[in-house]
Amino acid sequence: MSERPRHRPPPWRQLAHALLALAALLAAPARADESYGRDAVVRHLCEAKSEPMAQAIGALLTAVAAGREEAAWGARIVAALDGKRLLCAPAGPRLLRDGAVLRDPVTGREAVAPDRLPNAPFVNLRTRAWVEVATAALALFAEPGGAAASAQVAVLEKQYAIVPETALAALVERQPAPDLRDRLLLVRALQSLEAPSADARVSAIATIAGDPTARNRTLLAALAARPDYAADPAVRAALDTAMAHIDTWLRVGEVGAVLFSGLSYASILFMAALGLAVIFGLMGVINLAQGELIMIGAYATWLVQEALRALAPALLDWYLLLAVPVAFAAAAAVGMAMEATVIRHLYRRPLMTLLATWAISLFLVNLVQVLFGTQNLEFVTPAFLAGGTRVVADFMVTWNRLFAIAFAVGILALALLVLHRTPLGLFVRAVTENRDMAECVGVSTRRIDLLSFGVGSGLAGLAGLALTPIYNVNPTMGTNFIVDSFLVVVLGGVGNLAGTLIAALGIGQINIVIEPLYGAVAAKVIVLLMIILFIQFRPEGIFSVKGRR
Amino acid sequence: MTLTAMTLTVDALNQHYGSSHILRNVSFAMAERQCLAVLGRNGAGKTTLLRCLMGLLPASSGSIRYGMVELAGLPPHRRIRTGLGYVPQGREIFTNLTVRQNVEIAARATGAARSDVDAAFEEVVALFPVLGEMRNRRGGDLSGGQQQQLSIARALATRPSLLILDEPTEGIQPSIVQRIEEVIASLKQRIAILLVEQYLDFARSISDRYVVLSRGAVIESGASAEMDHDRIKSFVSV
Ligand SMILES: Nc1ncnc2c1ncn2[C@@H]1O[C@H](COP(=O)(O)OP(=O)(O)OP(=O)(O)O)[C@@H](O)[C@H]1O
Ligand SMILES: [Mg+2]
Repeated sequence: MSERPRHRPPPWRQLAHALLALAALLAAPARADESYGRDAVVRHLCEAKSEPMAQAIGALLTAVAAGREEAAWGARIVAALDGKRLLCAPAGPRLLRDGAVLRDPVTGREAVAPDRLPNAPFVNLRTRAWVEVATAALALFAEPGGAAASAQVAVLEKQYAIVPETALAALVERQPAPDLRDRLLLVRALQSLEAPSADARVSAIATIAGDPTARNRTLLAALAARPDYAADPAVRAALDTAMAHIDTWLRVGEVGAVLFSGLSYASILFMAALGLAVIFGLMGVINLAQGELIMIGAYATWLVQEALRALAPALLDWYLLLAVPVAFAAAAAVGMAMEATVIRHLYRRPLMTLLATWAISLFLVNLVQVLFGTQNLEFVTPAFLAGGTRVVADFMVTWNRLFAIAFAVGILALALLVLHRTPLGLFVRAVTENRDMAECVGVSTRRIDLLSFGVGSGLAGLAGLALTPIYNVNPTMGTNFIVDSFLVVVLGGVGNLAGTLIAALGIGQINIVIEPLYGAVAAKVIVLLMIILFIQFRPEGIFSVKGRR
Repeated sequence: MTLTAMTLTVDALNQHYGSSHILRNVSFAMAERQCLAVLGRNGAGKTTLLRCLMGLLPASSGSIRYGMVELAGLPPHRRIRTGLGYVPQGREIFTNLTVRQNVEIAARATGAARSDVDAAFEEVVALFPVLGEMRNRRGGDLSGGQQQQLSIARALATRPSLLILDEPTEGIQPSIVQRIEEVIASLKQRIAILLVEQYLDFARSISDRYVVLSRGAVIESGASAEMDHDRIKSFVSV
């Protein structure tokens, strides 16, 4: 095997590997099947019954593992059987239909068609399992590091009970990818659970405990309920330790999963709240339509997707990235139009602005309902956002949530850059602090207001984009976010990036943690109460600006 | 006096805070590069007058012309671009920005390129060396005297042709007062200065002309050299 750098497996796995390698070494010579022949394999397959099928496939895989048979021939025969192209007469020639010609399955030579073509044997539910196992194993023999290797290993995992032992040992041996190797070893361990010797059972149990999933937990629990398992104290003890071990990791995994989904929610909140905080800090305007700007960003993303589907289907997978400028611009344009037509005229009248932005939000919701309908929009999940990676136990880091988090981190970096490294940021900070004096050093505060409103709205649009792979998108989606976004602004302190970030993290997490315990409505109520309490003690938010004024 | 390029002419300016009449028919003029002292008791309306000049308060009536431009109705930043510079009473620097950024924003907002910002800052550091030492401090962390120097520096960074100062020496220790007075004196002859000042001696020594405000009306004006010290003092002190 090549010496590629590989991760160091945890100690229990190393031990299990060693034990299994030893077991394989002892078992291998005993199983050598001298009486192998293609003819026998084809004959048994033709019977299409469990017992002969098991024998045939066992023999075939063993022969392939030992190098006495080509994986390609086996794959061809099994595929023919699966595709009803293996034609078997009860007596006489067996034929393999290859397109228009008929061949001898053993030699592959062309054969003459008989008067009446024999029937193809019927693969039933039980024998199908054998066909699947054979197909997957043969493919892995042919190409251990193939593109579909993971899916093939998954077939073996599912049908672990019937995978021939020798073949499995050889597959483990030849698998170059460490993660797939570990999975194959686990399949072996599952098999060894039925081994007669207590030692083999104990080591198999240890290996299984090394992969703490809910599925393995159920499996071990089922074993523990079996009298033959419960009888042996050593096995019984191993089971108990293994289940305790799995339980611990399952809990860790659960906590990880909750924190992760809280983090992704917090990322969306942060993006929405950042825009709110900037606008509120600058103009004292509470923009109740911020939620609808999120919605507009999501709808703009959907439109980009549909446009690509119609005009450039090859680029469809990249619609999320291509939609970034569109979602930003769409939301920013709506925001700037709001500022220029309505909000500009209502400065220093907070209640009026509140009502006006609320009216705008209702208007936008209804407009979108009329234009697009009230149903949830369908989004394609781009290939690079499908699935995820398992971190521990059943805790998956899914790419779509990771995307939202990474996106928010990018936005944070960009916001920091703009706020602290550009003239616009300098102007925004100055206007936020002292509008009159900003004017008196030559800053056009109207222009800054308009620009900031645009940027703040655009950020909400980007939040809308980032949430499309996770949450439902419909005209009223904005309301789900607006309340929490506000709480973030209140909690974080006005115009304060660090505060906004911490508050978003806190509120995002608390929501996700409380929701499964007490329900969504109760979660909101509890969060609200906590914030009211907090504000009693720190009315200026998490961080107050220190120093002289 | 002729209306040359950069003269300030205030004509019949009135201002009300709600129903109270604060400025009453204020009229005066100042020539290019002239220094005008505005004197008056606490509450006479000096700050109100300056805020009207800057556009921070709307005037009820009257006109303010600077050069050929009618300022009434323009927002403050447009007035800054016509050449006014403003040092408000109470300094009002940006406490959350650094010393350098306080100067930078003024230079930037009035059209300085990124490369000119350094030069602008070095120029004000030459006038107020302490700002150079404090360049990366938050404005809010400076002492009152340092803030006053920063406030003047910030106004100068807008490159004004008329600098408007509202009690720049108020509540500041003598050594820094002296520095500020030296700087103002050094600006004289180069740009016009409109100075509201309580120290009568300094006002008289530096200004070319003076006006005295009382209850929002101009009650006395003239050349500073001919100022009757005791008479004016009776108008100014309580
Ligand atoms: N925002 C306001 N609302 C109502 N009245 C005001 C306001 N600001 C100032 N005034 C009143 O206007 C008058 C003039 O005030 P102003 O600040 O112009 O005086 P000043 O000459 O600058 O005094 P000082 O020497 O104390 O700075 C005062 O009577 C003051 O009470
Ligand atoms: Mg005053």
